[in-house]
Amino acid sequence: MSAVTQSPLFGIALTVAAYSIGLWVNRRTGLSIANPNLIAIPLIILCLLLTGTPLADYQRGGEVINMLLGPATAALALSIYRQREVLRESFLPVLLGCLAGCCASVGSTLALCKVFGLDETITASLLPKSVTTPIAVELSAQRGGVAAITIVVVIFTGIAGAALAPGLLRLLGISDPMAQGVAIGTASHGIGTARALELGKVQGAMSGVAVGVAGIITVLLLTFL
Amino acid sequence: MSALRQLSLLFALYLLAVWVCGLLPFAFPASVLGMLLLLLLLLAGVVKPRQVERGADLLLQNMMLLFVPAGVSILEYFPLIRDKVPVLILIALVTLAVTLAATAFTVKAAAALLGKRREAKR
Repeated sequence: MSAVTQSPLFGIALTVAAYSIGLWVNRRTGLSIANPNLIAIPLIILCLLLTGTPLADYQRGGEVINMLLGPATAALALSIYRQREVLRESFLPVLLGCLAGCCASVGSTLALCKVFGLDETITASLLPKSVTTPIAVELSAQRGGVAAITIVVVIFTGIAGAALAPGLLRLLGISDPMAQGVAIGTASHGIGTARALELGKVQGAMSGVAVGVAGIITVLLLTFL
Repeated sequence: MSALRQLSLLFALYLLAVWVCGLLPFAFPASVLGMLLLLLLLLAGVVKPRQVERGADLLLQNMMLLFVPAGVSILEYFPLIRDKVPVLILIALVTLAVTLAATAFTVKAAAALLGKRREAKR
């Protein structure tokens, strides 16, 4: 068996298979809680534990997939470029909103990590929790965090944002579509954006723009502060 | 240009960013530098969207798949956070609410301020 599991193709095949199952469940149910990653990751862990396959064997293929993250993040430029018209129209409110949101996110996370006495590794893994996963993973690694913890927290934040943000914003008395969209995108990245699109076209577009702008602002914040 | 050629272009751009990051006097994520570089090239019109979009969309549409292996590594790091899960959930929820509020109120205030200024100009 180890000849099979030690081939890089094993990890690649398992990843693609588990992710397809996750994607299928997600489309069948249409629920943001049925996130493809949240299904695929436990599924793979279960497979490894049940068959006694070492994580290192799986990661021979996993690393190959992981390597594509760099160019994929660079490709995000295209999705930001596609939003340039929306961004041009309401540049200042979006920029200021994202700036305030990113400072609030990083600041409140840092403060709470201190309050609860979390160590530097976990704090570094949590700081970029509001931004889109590819950027969050890079920022976490840069500050000595653990990519796996960051990914789980970022996905959790996205799902929580998708579930709670519309109600929370209503509670705060925010009915302006632009403010709603920018807030959801800044606080809960792409997963929140999917929910923002359900609220309306403006909310969806603004949320999409905010994901890119908040990503760049958070990089600058965490690199130079 | 075929999707494969566009992909190799994106790979080359990323590797260029890795090289530049090595020259910087501070730590900066290479993938984000690659993103900023590509964004500048697109805005400047040096790179046309149709020259990269097929390769880029291939990566963007399957982006979440690419995080699965790193997520599986939680198996290795779970002992590190086992007894902190409730605290982590609490932090995630509180900071989510703070971020939402800070962003939404700032956008509202900025939009209102700009609106007033525009009216004053008329």
